[in-house]
Amino acid sequence: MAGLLIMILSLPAYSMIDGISGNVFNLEAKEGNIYSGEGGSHYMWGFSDGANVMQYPGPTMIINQGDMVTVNLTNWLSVPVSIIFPGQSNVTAMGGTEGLMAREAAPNGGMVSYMFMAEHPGTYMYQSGTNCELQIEMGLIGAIIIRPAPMMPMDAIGTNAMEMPMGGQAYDTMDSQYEDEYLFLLSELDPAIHRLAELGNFAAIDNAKWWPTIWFINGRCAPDTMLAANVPWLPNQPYNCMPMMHPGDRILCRYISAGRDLHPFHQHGNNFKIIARDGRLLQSMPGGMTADLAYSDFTITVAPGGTADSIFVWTGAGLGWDMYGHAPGDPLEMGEDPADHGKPFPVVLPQNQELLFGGMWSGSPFLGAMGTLPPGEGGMNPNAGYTFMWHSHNEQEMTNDDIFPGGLMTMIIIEAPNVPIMH
Amino acid sequence: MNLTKNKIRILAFMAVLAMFSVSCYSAEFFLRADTTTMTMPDGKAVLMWGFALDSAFNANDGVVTVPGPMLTVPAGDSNLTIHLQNKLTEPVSIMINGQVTAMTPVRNPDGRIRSFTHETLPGNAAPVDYVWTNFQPGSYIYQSGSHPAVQVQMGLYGGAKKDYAQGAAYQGVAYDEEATLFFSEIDPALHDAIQNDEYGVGKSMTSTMGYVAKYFLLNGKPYTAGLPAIPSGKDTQKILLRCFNASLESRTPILNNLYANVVAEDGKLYPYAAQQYSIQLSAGKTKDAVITPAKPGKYPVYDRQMGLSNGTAGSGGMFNYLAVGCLSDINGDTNVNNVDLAILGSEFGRTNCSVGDPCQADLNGDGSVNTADLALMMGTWLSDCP
Repeated sequence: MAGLLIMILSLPAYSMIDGISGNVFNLEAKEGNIYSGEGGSHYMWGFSDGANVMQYPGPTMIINQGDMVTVNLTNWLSVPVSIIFPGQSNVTAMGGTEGLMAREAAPNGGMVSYMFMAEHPGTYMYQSGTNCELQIEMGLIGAIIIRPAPMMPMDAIGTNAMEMPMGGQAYDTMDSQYEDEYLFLLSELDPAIHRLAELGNFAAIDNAKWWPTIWFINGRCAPDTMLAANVPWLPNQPYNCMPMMHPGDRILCRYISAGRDLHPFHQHGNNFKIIARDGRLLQSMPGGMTADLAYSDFTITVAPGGTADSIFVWTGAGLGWDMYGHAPGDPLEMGEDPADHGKPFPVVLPQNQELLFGGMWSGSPFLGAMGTLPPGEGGMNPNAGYTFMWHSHNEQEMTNDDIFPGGLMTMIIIEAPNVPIMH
Repeated sequence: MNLTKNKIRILAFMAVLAMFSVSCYSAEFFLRADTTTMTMPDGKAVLMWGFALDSAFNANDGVVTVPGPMLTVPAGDSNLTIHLQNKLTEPVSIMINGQVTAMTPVRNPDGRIRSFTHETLPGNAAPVDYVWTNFQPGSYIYQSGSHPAVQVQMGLYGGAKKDYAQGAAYQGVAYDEEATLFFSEIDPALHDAIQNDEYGVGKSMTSTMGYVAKYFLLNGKPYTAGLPAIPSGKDTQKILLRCFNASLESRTPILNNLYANVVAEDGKLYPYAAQQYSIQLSAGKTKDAVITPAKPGKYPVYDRQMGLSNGTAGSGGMFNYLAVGCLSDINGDTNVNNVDLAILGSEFGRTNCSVGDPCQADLNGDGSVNTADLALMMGTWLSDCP
């Protein structure tokens, strides 16, 4: 028993969301440029991990519950900057000067250190607490993930050996366990404000007349959301949002509404279950064994500055046919819904000459199977997964400066059980 | 039977109330719709329409405020009567979203509804009454029900509230102190047009479709340096935050360094409280939340949808602090220190604190001054109290 415990505790904490871990973080506020999906370039203020370039959003800080956290801010901007940590209590600060909401680091090299105890697990954010109406728009935002202590690796639930060690647990309850986790930090941008800021013409900026035309998940606009993380041509936007899962996997979606607007985030494919809001489980009794007030939904609008967590599962249940093309006597796939096992595909597929193709169509309706395609077709779905769009249901937010498609949108890929999940 | 400090206070208040309430309705208000001018932090003078609370019809002794006066219906009273006087230039009325009463809409000749309920004409010689006979507990927004596209923006709104019982906002939601967070906005373009008679058919401004809020008010004021913080009870107390949004846009107050139990929405109790630091308020929404700060201090509260600018005067807007005082600052010198300890020491061991013979140092209100009170004091020892 003791041996088992040691083995469990010595497994590395599984970090699927990109970020920086630890309990001391050195953030620098500095300027830089980001690219929007239509090719626009926007002057930004953002946080960097130490001497690295500014990034949008700032580095995701991944913290273990119970840690005493120190965030050292060095400010290379021309205006005072501070950091506040909504959802954290008893934040203390050293250095700098007293601001409205937090101690501020002076321009051009000023420093402040913030300290707090990571008391509760969950999804949180950090942001500038100085001149927020401008500085949050300019990009001084980031995510915080606090993992529950001790980090409990989960039993294999509908998973396969290629992903071990797998997943984790978001909160203190078993029903917050997951195999894969993804971040959805939603924000928006009004290019006019950024142009004026780049020119130093701050007097001309009217934050009340804000009119965003660019929308982001994790600091990228679609289709860039679906590129790999850290692609070299987006040096200031390291984070992607390319959810992938197997049928039956539980995936944890961590939502952060980091901009100032409401974004109804809509997930195709299946309902999800909201388990937490603002870093607190939905419970009739705080501290209970389950998120007993969790609810099923297909669109979530997180309050600006707030967060939420959901568990999403997709098995193909209810399709009415066997998506693996099984014969009735075949064994079940991992994560397969048994109700449709062995049921034939219900229609006769049209011939290729009667079809128009998209890059995602593998040529076969069966999961993980390829069919014959004319030359030049397909190719964007190499493992023949199923794809569903996840996007803002304020449809105008699926554009990049008025060009559709783009913006606050990505695709989730359901991959066949034998396909390794690439993160 | 032990009485909490709060109950003692309420009973004393009720006794005073009983003396005065013999000859009049307990929830009866004389409101006057009138004009006032508010000066914004950047110097802009804005004509407002608002309500004043007068002592009698045509007494004209109240002050016009935006938001209007908070109307408190006592717990146990189902009746609210508002006697309205209209000193504006167009008909006005009063409705309360979420409170049911018989309403008689007024229509234009073409059949379109002009007013959700009966109007009070300009310069009315006798009060026009708006009556609710089944007033429900909770927090509500009252507003003009006439020409609301213009009149609500102009400032004809306010809060109305009723407790479920003494010291309880709703069934099972007890509180010690309460604070109001009332959000609203101003787009000066409409106010200027009204002032200059440039609003209406055939004039330079024909609708409110181009609305862009420019000034952002929390409890009727955009934040400027030196604005008094919002008194919000004391540490370890249950403090009820009544949140109102009379803005035309959504607002999301964030409580810095605090969580709230959001207990009700639109005057309706949730089955379970929601633990949040963000309190999202759609236009017209009310929510009630209870905070129990462990420590005294000034807790920033701000609109995360960024109603935080003061026109050309920089930052401000919907920002202020919840000033949570010290339960253990018995002598009120804004510090928990030896003076308070001496008072506690002088009363230590008393077990008979009561309305007639209260104990200053019965901090937890259990009727005794003992080590539990001492522990509370030590918990905030040497704290500065806002």
